[in-house]
Amino acid sequence: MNSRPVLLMTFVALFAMAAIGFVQLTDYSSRPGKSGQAPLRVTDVRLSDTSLADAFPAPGVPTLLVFYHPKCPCTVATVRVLERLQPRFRPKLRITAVAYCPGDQQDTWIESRTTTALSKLASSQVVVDRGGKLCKRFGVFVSGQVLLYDGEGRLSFSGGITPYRGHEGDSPSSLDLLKRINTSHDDCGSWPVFGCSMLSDSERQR
Amino acid sequence: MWMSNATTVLDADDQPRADALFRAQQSLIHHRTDRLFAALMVIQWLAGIAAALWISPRTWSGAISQPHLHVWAAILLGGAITALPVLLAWKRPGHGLTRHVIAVGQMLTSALLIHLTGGRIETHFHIFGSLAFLACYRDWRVLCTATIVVAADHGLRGWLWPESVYGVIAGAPLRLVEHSGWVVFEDIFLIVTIRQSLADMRRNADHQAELESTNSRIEAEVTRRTEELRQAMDETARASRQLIDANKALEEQNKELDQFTYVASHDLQEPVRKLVSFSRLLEQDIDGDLNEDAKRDLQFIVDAAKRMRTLVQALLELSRVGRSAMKHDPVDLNRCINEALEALDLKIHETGAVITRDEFPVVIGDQTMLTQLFQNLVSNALKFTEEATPEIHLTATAEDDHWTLGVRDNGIGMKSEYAERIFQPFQRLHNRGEYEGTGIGLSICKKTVQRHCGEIWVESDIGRGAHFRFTLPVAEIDTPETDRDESEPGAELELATC
Repeated sequence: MNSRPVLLMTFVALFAMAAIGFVQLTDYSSRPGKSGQAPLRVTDVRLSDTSLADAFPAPGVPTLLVFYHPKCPCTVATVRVLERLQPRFRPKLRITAVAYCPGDQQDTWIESRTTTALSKLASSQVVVDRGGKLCKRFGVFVSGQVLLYDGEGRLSFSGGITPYRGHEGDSPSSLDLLKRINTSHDDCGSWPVFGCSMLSDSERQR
Repeated sequence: MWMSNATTVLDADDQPRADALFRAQQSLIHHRTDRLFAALMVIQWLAGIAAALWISPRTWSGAISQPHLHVWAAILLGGAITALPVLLAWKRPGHGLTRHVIAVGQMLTSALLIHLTGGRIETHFHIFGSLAFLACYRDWRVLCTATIVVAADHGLRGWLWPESVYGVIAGAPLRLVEHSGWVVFEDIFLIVTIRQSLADMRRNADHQAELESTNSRIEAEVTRRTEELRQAMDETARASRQLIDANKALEEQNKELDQFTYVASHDLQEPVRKLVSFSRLLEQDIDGDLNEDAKRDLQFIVDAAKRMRTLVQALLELSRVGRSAMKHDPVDLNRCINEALEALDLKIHETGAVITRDEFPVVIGDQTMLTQLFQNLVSNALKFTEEATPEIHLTATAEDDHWTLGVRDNGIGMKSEYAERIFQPFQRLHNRGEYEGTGIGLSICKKTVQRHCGEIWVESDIGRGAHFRFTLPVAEIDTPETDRDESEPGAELELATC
């Protein structure tokens, strides 16, 4: 039997599968998640009943809020970008990692590689956001979103700092964050966020 | 095809063989590398799945999770990338299409692994490692295919999703040139290396072809010479067989001749004896009645009859020496010489001959024949002398495996050209009137020596005497220690015979 046609069909089929697969994969990785509008001033958010009550207000000290899902693999890239950027931060900066935790889970649920890495960043603390209360108040729906509030409590940066879903490396957003930390800006930089959803559909509707 | 810069200059006949060897070596490399890549790609596929399961096992939405898309991509997309190269490596190893598909698959695997590991810079080394590995094919076209895949991947994704490749939206074309440049940079070195490697392979193929050609020529020459040698050996064997047959025929003829000689001489004895007897009776019967002429004629008849009788007896003796049963006993030649000299005692006293002798050994042979041998030779030495007193010396010299014995005299000697002739029957160098004899004595000596596996010859010159020499084998005496009794002269000896 002549195997040439079979081989050719196999070649075409596998090539098509590979092409479709790469397109799908790239499309998935480059599609940002839905994000809401973060409060322009930190004072607009009620924090007294949250784990961030002690963090704000902090006059004169910029605060970087990193919202993350402890189990999201894509957020590892966000942590890596932060690790690389941190030595280049000039002013004193407080980093607060807000770890999502389902309401019916213990605090130990947040233990993960991402949590460990974030807690090792200089001047950082990890707070638990049980039930996603903080996420909803800050309008954060995608893991890896970063909010920068300057020393006067104004929102200076909102969005992701990875170029791609789960991809580390320099990107326009990360460089913008670095620039806004080191120098004061009046406007707010907004960037897409790539990562897992912070809240389930039921939590979001509540 | 890359041209060889080898210094080997091949014959036109060797060039096709060199090309075949070169292609065979290339095919071997292609097959081997295909198999290696088939195994590598399966391992890479499994490694990609493992990496996906480790790095991004699940995707989350709050507390709810499901398998991450990377896991499915590692399994399905990785499987699709791996399947065709492995299939071709299995079904069509060594084929040009196979290695180009493998190159495509390997580069796509690099892209997938980079994606699965989150674009880690370390994973990009997979591309450069793969290029080096693809260079094992020693086919620069494969590197071109791989490079085109890398460039196409970057170009396409850089165009559609620039941030996914370069992390930035702007400047994608320049990044494409930069990224491709590094790949081309490695390609240049690899292609140069491939070219040198191919040149080496070409040189080796040329040398191999030349060596095979030389070996073939040598084998052909060896075969030809072996055949010639075999033919020569066959010819020699045939000649040897013919010689053996001729010898057998000659021996048969000699036996017949000996038989004839014996029968003739034996049967002639009786008529000759009667002729002599009746000649004498006739001489007595008519004594005084014959005139002088008749008496002289009758005397001639009587003398001729006597001489005929002597010749017949000598011929019979020669025949007996050649035919008679011969003993092979240990013989002390000193004893033989003593007996020979006793037999010649009268002649020795008449001539006043002075006879000296060496110490003679014990040999294997027939004592009677050897005694006769010495008697003949000494008698000869006594006979052929002039006025001078005969001085005879019996010589014995030990050689490696034989004794050289002889009888040397100071007689008249002879010309060296007669050295062979005198051993033939009835060959005489002098008239009967000068020296008596039948001319058969030395023939008997020769026959005796030959039957003792020896040779006889004479060393002589006119006026310088003669030295008759002959050889006899050394007796190998094997004396059993248990039975040996050195004090007993008649101890039985076990002696080798010729």
